Amino acid sequence: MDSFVETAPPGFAQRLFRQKGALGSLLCLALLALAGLFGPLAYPHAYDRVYRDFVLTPPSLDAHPTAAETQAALADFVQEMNVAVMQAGQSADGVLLQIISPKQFDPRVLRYFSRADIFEPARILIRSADGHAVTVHVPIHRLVFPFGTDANGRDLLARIFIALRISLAVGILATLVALSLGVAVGGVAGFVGGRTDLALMRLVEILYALPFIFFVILLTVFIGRNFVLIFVAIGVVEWLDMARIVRGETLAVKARDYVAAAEALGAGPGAIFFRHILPNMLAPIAAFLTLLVPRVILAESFVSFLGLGVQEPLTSLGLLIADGARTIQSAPYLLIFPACVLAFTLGALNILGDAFTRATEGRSQ
Amino acid sequence: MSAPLLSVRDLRIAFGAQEAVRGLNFDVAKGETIALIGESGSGKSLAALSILGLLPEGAKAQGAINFDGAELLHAAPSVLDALRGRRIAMIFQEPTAALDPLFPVGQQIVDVLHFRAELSRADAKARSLELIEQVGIDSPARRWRAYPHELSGGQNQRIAIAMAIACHPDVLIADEPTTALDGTVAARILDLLTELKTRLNMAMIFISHDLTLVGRFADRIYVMRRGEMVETGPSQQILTAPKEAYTRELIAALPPPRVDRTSSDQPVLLEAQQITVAFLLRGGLFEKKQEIKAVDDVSLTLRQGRTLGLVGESGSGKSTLGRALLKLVPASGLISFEGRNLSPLTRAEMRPLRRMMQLVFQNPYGALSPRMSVGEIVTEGLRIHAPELSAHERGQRAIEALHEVGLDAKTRFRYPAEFSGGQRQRIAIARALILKPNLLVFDEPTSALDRAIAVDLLELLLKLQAAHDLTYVFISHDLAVVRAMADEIAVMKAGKIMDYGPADDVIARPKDAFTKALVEAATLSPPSASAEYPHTRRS
Amino acid sequence: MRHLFTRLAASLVTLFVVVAIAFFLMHLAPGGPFESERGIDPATLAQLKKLYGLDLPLPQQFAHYLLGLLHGDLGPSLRWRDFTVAELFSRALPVSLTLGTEALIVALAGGVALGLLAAVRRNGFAARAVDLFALSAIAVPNFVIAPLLQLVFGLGLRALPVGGWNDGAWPNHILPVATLALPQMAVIARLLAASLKDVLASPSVRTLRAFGLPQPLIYAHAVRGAFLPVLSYLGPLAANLLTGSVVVETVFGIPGIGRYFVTAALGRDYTLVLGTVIVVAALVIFFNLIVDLLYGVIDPRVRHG
Repeated sequence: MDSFVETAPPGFAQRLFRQKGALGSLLCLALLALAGLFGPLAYPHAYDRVYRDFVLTPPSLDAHPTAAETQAALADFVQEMNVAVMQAGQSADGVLLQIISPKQFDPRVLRYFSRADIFEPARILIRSADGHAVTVHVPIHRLVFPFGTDANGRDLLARIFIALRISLAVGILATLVALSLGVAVGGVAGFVGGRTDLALMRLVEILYALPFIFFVILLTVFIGRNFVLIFVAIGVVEWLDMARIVRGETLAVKARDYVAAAEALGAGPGAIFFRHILPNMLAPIAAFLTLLVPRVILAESFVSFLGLGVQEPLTSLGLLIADGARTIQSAPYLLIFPACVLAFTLGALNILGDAFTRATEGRSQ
Repeated sequence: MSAPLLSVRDLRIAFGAQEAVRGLNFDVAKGETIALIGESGSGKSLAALSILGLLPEGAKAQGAINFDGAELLHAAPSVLDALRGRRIAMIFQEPTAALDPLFPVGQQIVDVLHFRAELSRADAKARSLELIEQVGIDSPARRWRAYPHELSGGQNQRIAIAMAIACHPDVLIADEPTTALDGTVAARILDLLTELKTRLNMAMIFISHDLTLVGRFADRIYVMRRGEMVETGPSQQILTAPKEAYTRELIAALPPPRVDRTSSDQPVLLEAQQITVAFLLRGGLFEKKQEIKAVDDVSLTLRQGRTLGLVGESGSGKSTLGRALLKLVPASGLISFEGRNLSPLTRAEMRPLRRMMQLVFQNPYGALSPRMSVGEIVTEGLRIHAPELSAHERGQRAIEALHEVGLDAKTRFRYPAEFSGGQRQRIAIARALILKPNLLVFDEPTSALDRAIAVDLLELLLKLQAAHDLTYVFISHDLAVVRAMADEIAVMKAGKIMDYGPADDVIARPKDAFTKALVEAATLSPPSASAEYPHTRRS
Repeated sequence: MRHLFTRLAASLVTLFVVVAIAFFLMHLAPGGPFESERGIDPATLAQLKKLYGLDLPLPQQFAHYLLGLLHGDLGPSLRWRDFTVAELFSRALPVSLTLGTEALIVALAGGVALGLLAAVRRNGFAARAVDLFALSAIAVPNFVIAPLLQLVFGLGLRALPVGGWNDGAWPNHILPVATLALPQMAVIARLLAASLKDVLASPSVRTLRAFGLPQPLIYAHAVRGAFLPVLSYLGPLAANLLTGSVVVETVFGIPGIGRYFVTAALGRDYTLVLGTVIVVAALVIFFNLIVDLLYGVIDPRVRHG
């Protein structure tokens, strides 16, 4: 009596994490997903908040306003409000100013501070006897722009957070659309075979003749520049490859002996499909899915880059890169940061997808 | 006794920590034929590859390989290159894969002649045509221009042999040269090798898993197991009086030929008349569709409790016929089972009848769904045909079926990947048996198994047949195996039945030339020989 | 020969279906070519429509269009009304094709060289460099590469023009071609390296080595077989280059058909859009046909299959 095979073959998770880079890219993606999900909520800057005073500020971890900026703002105040100012002191969170005006002091002057981004509403501490001078305390609103701000004065990191959220959402949603279409068409073609198969594959071949971008542009023209339907457009384009893979897998599994055995046992087509074909198809399809997501994200960035995708004030990585490309001379960081984030996302997804593919290979016989 | 031409001392080959060959020693004298015998994993192929320095990536070899005074292992590439093809040549197991698919086969012989025998291209071409003829290929000029995928496996192996003998090597290494070939083709290739070896006075190292096969022409046999040598000796001695238990396992005797045990008056279980299975090849847009008949006008009768053996080479249609009898493949003609005409039934109508007729496949690795547990696999039939059974009852029936095939009850919680080939076949048999069918069709059930395990399985099948009065259709390319199982034999070629009758009749008095060739290839001794001597050889 | 006919016929059918889909999609989209023009009164609008035959029922318009196609007439452009589509193309198409061809050559030459290097020195630095290169090609798309190249070479080093076509002066070719070619070079290199690695380990190469045939011969045989997957990729490669041209022409300001296409689509210039679709689809189909034929030349198994 021959003996058992020594050890049970390693489970899928084990095989996956043995691949180089699988763990690292999974962590990276988890981080990016968290950033996209919670970033906009937790981060103090709102993605559409415009800081008129801070247009195109370079990235830095130092707080704004710097001393120079404060002086500049105060000089600006003096000019605008036609008063004289003496800086009486500085506290932890603000400045102490003595304002002397030629006429009676008009409290409306202080509205300047309410409007400005740098300052918060001033508080009058002392009034002089003759009413010409007041001592006010003006708190300074400390802002940090780790990634700098764009040409409109919006914080880049906030925009990147929201862009991540949108890119990832579009990625997943469009992939689901591609998955559904692909599985439906490919599965039917593979399982039913015959003329249906021929007809469907002809259709796929024809649609392949038009490069992706032309098709998407046509579709976006038809659908309009509507964010919600962008992912439909992309999914409708990417389903072609999915259909081919699903069809291939269905055919391969259908040819396996255990399917013939099920038929010999007397199982009906439904039982054969759900008990035998579907479970054995899942792994390779999942592997392809993980490689589909980055393609979809790339497609969305591409379309947004051309101005046909996501619209303002919402933003996506592609849109950010397009903006960055325009101001590349004066503010290269506006291109570099979103490009890096995109690169990390696509890179991690691809490494993970490759690892997934290799972990599922040779698995189901 | 002159010094051996080639001698291997303490050869060790390891992949990292895994030792594949441990301390192998053998000698080859001039003109001698030795055989390295072992099952898969024994290291025999690796040992052969190491002689010419063809080990795969990651393999590390140690020891000494001496050829005509030169040390080969760890020799400089130029030393090895000088020998390769010129003094030591090699042919491989899969002939079509071993040739370059992008070039005509004749060109490949010319390359060897031009670069290794220093012939001009014109001379090489002429010589290559001669060689093609020498190795027994017809119309040499036409075949010269053919590509490997246009020729059969047998023809490609002959081309490989032509390349190998082109420079009159001293040693020919043949790594399982006939394993991938059909019986009669394999027999002819072996004849060719024997003839060439004698004529060119070549030494030969013949590698195989089949001990009985090499008995025909090896002078000395080395039996290997898991990288070590188990036994060695002159081939006659090894075959008739092996010392080691493992060697005895390798030539495990098949069960004796079936004696006429049941009367042929048993009721007819299955009757097939004029069965034809035709496939249409899709032509192009402007081409006519071609029809290929996989099964051509076959008529058979199966009686209750008896076994029909269906013998033929690959492509003969025997598997297709087996499936057609079960109506798993559309066929024209009449099939009646237990008196009931199956022909007009639709697929849906056939399904409830399927519990009475079951099929066991050749490939144990593909026949069980990898995602289902053994218990689920075995009871699938019950879910279809006896849905009223509770899960517990199904479990009970599963345990019964597993016990019958010699497997433990606990196996039903495990997955197929954890079992060996022989065990998986038993699971497949349990799956079929659980429905208590009348008819079982076996499609080459032992072809993928090692010898001793195959013999075990055959004995199990005989036991089950006796216990349950089952009717078998036993399909195989191996006449010797069929003889142990079958009461009647039908020989098939190109979809037609060439010979049909009681088993001993067909073997002793073959009517058709093809049957004769099969019998010869199987080198079957006459049925009157007793079963004492384990010389029932298969090819 | 028969095979060729079948393929040609199938290609024409494909082209027809593509044109039909594009035609009907365009016309079914809301808005029209004149809607966005400011202050146009309904009477003029109606007249314009009549002039361009846009008031006829759709199937009739389609038939007219097809008829025109057979005469090589792609119709007038609806936005640049002084020109026919054919005229616009005659200036734009050569530009795009030049850049595309140059990019193809660079990508193939570079990719094959890198791939060979990586495969021959198996576990060396070259192999890992190629892997990294391939990964960056996927992670850094062409619309990121383009502005980066502009920044480094155009504004930083001031070695190359930042954009513009300058009537085809060769320095203006360099950055656009680099943007188009680099990602594809990486893909080809990786494809070839992997394929060559497989072929070198295959039984047929083992036979060549077993007979002591010279190394150059072995490599020549191996590369011929290993090249097949690269050849298969040429079809999608052409499509990718055409796609990439849209970005490259936009960023670098090149007057090619890609740039025309985007503006035309947004402005509902039906004839121009259709013309582009036809040209692009025809190019892709034609290229695929050539690739198929080449495949048959190299691989006899396909010839007889």
